[in-house]
Amino acid sequence: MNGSIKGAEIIGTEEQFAEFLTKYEKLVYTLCYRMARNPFDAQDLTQDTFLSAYQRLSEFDGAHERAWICKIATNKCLDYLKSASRRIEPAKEETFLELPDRGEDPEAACLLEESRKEVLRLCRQLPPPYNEIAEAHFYEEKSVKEIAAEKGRNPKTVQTQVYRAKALLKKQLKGGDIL
Amino acid sequence: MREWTGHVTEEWLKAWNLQQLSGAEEQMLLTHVGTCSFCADQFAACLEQDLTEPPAYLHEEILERSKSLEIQAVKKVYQTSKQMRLFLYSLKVGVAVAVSLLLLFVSPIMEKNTIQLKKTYLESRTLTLTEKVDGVWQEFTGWLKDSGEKEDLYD
Repeated sequence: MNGSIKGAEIIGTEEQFAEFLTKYEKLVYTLCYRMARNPFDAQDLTQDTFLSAYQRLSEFDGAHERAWICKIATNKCLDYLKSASRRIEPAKEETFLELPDRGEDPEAACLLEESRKEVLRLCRQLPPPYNEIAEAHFYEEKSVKEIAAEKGRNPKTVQTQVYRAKALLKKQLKGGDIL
Repeated sequence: MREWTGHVTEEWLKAWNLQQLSGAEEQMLLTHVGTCSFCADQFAACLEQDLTEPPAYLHEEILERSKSLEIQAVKKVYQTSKQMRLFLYSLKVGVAVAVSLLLLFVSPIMEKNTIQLKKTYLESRTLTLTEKVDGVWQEFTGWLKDSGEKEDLYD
């Protein structure tokens, strides 16, 4: 489909929702990353934003889709900030505070690599089998299906392990014990 | 604290981008962006100048999750709710139109019947009044007659 998607009726099918997601994924992730200041919560917020948009498509009038998705993402981020556990920002999260993805900037590329190294370090600190799952998913950025195929495991099992690994990583970021 | 004019300005966006806003200022900015479509669009345009690449697996993860039963169920609830609201609204409009048409066509007939009833009533009133006057006159003339006959007896 060339051009923008107009109207909730047009975003209704799976393919069209996938196009909508492709179009605004970076925008929403950028906002969520800026607010959450760590990639794990940013991913959760991005997912929550798009799923909320998907559920409420029937209420969307079809105009100004960029503003619409931005409003949803902003409100999700506000809820995230307001929740009690976010009021105190532990020192370990500062690792991600100054690490925006600036791609072409050499300094930024270096910072990005540092951020990835930090993710790898955190993943390797997890107990098995979460360490290898976390490394494959969060560092190597492989999908659940790819990991399941590589390791010969049930995708649902891998998905559950990914969720648990993420929870452990978040706990680690906040300075808590993971065992 | 920066002056807030009610909408997002270039100054506020720049300050947010450079993380120069205080907690309260950021809260105010985001709360407004969450409700104003125009400012949300401006905010999005600002973010698009410097996008962060999400992990490769996120796209597929979101699509998979959107197909889950719980998400589909909630989506269905929102759709049904909207359909129900549309149905109730249509019903209200339909009833209003029906009542208007009823008044439009029944009203002249009722008016005609009302005039007829009024005329009959007035006519009946007139006869009664006439009869009353007639009655009084007859009484008077009767009295006169009686008086005349009594005088004849004494002559």
